[in-house]
Amino acid sequence: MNSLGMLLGGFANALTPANLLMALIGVLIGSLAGMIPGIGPTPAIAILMPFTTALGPVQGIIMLAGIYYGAVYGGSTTAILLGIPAELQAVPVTLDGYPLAKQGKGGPALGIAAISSFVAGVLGVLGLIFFAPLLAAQALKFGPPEYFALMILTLTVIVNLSGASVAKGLVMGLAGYLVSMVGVGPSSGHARFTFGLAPLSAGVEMVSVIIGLFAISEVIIGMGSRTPVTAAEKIGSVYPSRADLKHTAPTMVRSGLIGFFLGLLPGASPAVSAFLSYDVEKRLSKNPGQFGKGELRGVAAPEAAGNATASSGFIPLFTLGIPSSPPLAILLAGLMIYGLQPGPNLFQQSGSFVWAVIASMFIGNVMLVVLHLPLVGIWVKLTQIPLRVLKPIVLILCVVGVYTVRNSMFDVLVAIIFGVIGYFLRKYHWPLVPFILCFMLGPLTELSFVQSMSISNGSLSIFFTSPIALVILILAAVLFAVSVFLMRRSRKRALSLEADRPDLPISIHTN
Amino acid sequence: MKAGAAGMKQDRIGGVVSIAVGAGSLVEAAILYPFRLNSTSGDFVMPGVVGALLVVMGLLLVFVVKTPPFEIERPDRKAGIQMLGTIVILFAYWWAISELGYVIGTVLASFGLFKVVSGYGWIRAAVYAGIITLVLYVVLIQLLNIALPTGIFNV
Repeated sequence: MNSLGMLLGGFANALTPANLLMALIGVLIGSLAGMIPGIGPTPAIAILMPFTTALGPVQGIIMLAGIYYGAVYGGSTTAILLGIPAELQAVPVTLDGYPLAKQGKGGPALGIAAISSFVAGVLGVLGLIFFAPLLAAQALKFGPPEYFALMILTLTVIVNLSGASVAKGLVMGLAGYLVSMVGVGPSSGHARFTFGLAPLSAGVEMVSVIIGLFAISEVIIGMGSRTPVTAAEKIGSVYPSRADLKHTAPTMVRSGLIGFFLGLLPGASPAVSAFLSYDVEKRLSKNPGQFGKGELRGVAAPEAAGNATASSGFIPLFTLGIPSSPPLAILLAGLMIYGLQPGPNLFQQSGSFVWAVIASMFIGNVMLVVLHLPLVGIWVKLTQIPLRVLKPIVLILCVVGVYTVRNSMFDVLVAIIFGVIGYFLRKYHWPLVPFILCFMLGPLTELSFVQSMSISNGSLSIFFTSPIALVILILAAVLFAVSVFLMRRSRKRALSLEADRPDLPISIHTN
Repeated sequence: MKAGAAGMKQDRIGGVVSIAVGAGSLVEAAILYPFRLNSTSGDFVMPGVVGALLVVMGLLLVFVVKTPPFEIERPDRKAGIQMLGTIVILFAYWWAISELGYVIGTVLASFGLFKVVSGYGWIRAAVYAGIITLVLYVVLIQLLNIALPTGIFNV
């Protein structure tokens, strides 16, 4: 069946009343959690992910998709209304969104952001329809050496996810691999790194690590830092005028395309495309001086580009198993909980399920626009909820959420321990996402390596004699260099903005 | 001390930890070596490779790489007590769920968290704890049918 037919099948699967309700609940909860200052999209997805496991696979993944889109868009709401970007990607949105909010034009800024997100989301789905069959056709050519090369390629993403220091990111990635080895060895069946503790023989549960590192530690560290909370001004109508739409439409398309094509490259993060598109729009503008003072194009460009990259990022995520941003890394974990192994065989092995997921993402995007525009007044009030009320609730949800995955109190203990470890790692600026990425991909990396060695009788040359593996390894080296260049450029821009604009309460979470 | 120098010093300490963890991984690889499939394949390979790379990266962090400087924001006394209290309550919650059951454990833990984290008075913390426990009970146990521990009181 062609991909359009598969997509229609996916829509048929996703558009049942029960599934639509799950998408609605997911978008609502995700939006709420993502826009709470001090929590942000990545921890929001981490906290809510375990509860989706109480549902069936399709409903669970649909709710997860809703949570993902809701949380990411919720992060933009906080960036625009309060000037607090929860992730690096939201910094350029803050530059013009927050001044617009201070001028009483927060409504149109939110409206443009929502429409830009929608345009970008649609581009991502269309891209999946076009590219997925091309990549799926290559799936049968992938054996253990090619998979291992793919895992090496994934390491290039660490550059983008490392925060300020690539060296520290690499150490964290290696530590993630190490923790993934806890349990029983795949070839001999002997226990590794279990220290005689029986519960460790089953390995360390992924959700426990994610909740501990991203949610519990986030709450703990929030007690020691003072997040500047600014009251949102009157925001005006959320529906952009026809003139506003005409003004920003070319920007949405341009930036959406920039973001989309950057997202196809494994290693390009939404933050890179958000900054790049902002710069492009500023250069193309007849009034570049207006940027940074409240220019709607300054909101539309990074929002469309960042979300297009996040959406087209599903292509390397689904076909190669490579996430391009922290929220996508958590979403990858969510897919793996449901038994999906993103990679070249995904479309072959779980085609109908994957297309249902893609369709549900499209539905989640539509719901986001439908819900956010009329209900913006409520969302604005929600950003004012004091964090001290929510922190105890979040912690209780973390504990219960971890327990529900395997009904294991040991997993809860692991989550709390990782919460404490995560606090110190964040405190000393050790990036968490490389750890979790390598932790997730560790078992597949080891398995493909062991199988490759068995095929080649222990010769490492197998990785260089396979044309596909060789091309992937060369690509990994090139992308590593390009990623270092692009990320340094984006970071310099962010740092110079922090220095130039002390009026903006910018506090970027690099973890 | 120069601004950010403290952060660089902590990175060097992180490098030392990396070396120690890497060395531990190499020891594990040596223990697993007798169970190898061949000289380049078996359960010892990944611990060996990862351990060696951790040692190398640790050495680089200690002696070669100059990581970008950063400030370490230390929590004040009140925040420190809140953090410590939160961690103690979480561990106590873990114990209480197993021994006293989910309902009693959640009432006690959420009460403690509303007192310590939110700084509420006894009555408000107790009311909020009751509401949270009730709402989660309805959602998790009644709606989602999740089986949670009942403890020695079977509640």
